[in-house]
Amino acid sequence: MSDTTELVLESNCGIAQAEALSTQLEEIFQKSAEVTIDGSAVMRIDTAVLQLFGSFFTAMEQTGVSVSWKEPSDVLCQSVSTLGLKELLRL
Amino acid sequence: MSIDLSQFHQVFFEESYEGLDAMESALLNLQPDNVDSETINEIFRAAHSIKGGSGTFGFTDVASFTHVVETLLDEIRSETRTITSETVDLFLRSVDCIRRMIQQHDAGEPCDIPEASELKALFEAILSGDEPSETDVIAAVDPEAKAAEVQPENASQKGWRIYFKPEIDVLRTGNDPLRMFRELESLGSLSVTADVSELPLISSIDPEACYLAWSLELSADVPKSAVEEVFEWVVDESDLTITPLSESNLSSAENTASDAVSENASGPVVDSVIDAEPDNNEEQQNSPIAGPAPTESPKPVAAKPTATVSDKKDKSKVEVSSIRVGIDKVDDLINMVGELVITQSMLGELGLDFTIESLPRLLEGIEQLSQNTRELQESVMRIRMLPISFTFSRFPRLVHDLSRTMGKKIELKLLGEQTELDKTVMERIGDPLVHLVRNSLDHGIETPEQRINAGKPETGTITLNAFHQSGNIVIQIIDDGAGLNKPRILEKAQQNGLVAEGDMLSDDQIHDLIFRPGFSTADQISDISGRGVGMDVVRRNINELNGSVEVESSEGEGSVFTIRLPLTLAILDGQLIRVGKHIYILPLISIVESIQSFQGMLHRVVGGCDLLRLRDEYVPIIQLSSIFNIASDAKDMDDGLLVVVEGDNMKVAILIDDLEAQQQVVIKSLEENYKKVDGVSGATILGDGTVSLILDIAGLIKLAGVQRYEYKAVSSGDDCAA
Repeated sequence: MSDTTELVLESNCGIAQAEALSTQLEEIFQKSAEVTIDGSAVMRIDTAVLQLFGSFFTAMEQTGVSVSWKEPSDVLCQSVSTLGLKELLRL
Repeated sequence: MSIDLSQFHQVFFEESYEGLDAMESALLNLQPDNVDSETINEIFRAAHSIKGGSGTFGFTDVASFTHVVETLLDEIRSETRTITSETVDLFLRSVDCIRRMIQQHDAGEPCDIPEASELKALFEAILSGDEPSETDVIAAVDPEAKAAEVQPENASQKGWRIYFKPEIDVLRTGNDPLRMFRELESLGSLSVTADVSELPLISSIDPEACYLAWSLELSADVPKSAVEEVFEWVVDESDLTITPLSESNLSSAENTASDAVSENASGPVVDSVIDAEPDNNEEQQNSPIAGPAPTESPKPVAAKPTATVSDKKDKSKVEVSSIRVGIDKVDDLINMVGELVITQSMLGELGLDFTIESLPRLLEGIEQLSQNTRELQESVMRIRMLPISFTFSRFPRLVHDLSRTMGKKIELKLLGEQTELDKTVMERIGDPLVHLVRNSLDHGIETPEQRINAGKPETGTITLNAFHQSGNIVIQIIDDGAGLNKPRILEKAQQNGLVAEGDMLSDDQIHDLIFRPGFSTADQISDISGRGVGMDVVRRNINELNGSVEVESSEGEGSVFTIRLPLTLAILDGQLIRVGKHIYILPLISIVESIQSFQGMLHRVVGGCDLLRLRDEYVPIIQLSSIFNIASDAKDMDDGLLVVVEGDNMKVAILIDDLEAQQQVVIKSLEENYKKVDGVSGATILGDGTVSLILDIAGLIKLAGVQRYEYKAVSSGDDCAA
């Protein structure tokens, strides 16, 4: 699998966006393709979305597929840290 | 023959809670410099009853504690001892203590209130004439001062260990742990350990459910109440324990080995410490983050704090498990049932020997039955109705305590205390009301100096007013404080992107911005609230009760928050609407107007939804047929009817085929009987036996993907600005 998918996060990653994002993440998971998540634009993120990423990372890890962050914004990094998810999300 | 006294325990607990409420209320009304003997008698009688009952039922700890309280009250009553404001505070603290003791007995837990022995010793010292020092009294009436005295000076020992496991639906209710933890971060250094053991894989996750739990350590010299305040909205919907860091350190030292093993066994755990400096992101960019398993083994979760007094046992959180019903209401009910029995026997007799000549009597009987049923329904509903004084009664103490803490002088006025509303509504409106009152107290009312400088009386006033209006209950929280600071609200809204630069908003629109989620971030303006939970959650909680909240404010003169709620959650005044073959129900309270002929009022925004130009505003149009994927009669939009409704603080127009009858409907929970369905708040059974869905306006708006923009009509032409 040499394909790499890039997922670009929007500035607002609130709970209202969680369902759509969940569908996207599941599609990526089904493809088993390496993925880069561009978090540079994130200005707001909720627990629901970070929890989704936690679930996604765990699933990808189990299948041995690589996931990487691209330029995560300060808001994203700080939110991950505040929720105690740094290790799980590798941020 | 021995009598099993345990069957009377519940009655004793309920009477004791009522007695304690009466004691608290009388103590708050007591003027130490002008003692009213009847008020003292009232306090004494309540204490005496609790002592007697607890002795009878074997709650000796309560009886023994209440005995010293009662003895001191007796001396004050017989004027052999004077009362001071410190003594009043001591009595108030003892009321809290007795309440907690009774709550523990009520919950079947072993009674363990360390404060009880300290307070009892203090009362005994006063009674023996060995007057305690002022410091002792202050420490007793102010646990925070006591805690400060007891806690070691070592800063590393100061703080709180928190275990927080929210219920699965916490995120859906607008309560975000991230926001709460940010608020904790603002109090001091926070270490967070997330338990992700229950997190499902992406293929089976519900994106709006919460599967995480957290263990937190807050190193900060703050009182427990500051931590509790952060979680005040979720305490009933979560497993929450808060223990002093020093205490839990000791217990964790004893239990580390066993707890670490058990936590590790439960699943993966990740850990982080919030540092003052943000992490260096450079190292993380473009680095592979999944694939090989981490070499570092997960850190064990610290020992869970030992539960002491459950945080759910606060007075304000005690749910009324039973209600006392006035005998007049029961008599009404019996009368109604009597009427029903008469009508039933009359109809039964008619059925035995029915001829066509009997038809008028049959119709008359059916009409009578219908009236009996309606009256019976009203009588039964009245049983669930309680005066709002049950909720208002918590506020005198809240205002008394908080105004002392903040050095403010505040008079609380309660109006319309006998206004009745449904018990369930009352239980659920308590927290939003507390938040609004605290908000007025904290940020609305100014300090005495500021008030004098502004030419106002030194003492501020907060008024809670309740009254019935058009089949709803209206509750107002009125303060004569500083009012909302419009320029700062606008500035914040612009920063958050809620309002574009140059947008012209009316005063009401600016005030309304405080209910937007954008204002509930950690960096929120101090004039409104600073508790980690914003007004958006207040509004969301009220909306969930099919109610609404709005604010009027005048800078320098104060604010009025007005809450409108249905009288009951069991029955809804509904408007039946039809789309194709399907009948849905709209809550009548949500309907603004309906429009039959709207040619020329429709507009399409590029990339957006259809809009209805309604006088000076544009209202997004929601097509039920598209959302629910059903066939509608209308081939073209112009063929239908538009019902303009309000929900989640915005107007939308719903396109339907026809308006049917208006009627009261009994609400059946869809979640309990089927499952949660987006855009639907419940169901009911119509007269013909079919099930009809009750529409949830806020859910429909979300389902339709309507963006919350200020749609303003431009006076010339048909352009619209979104």
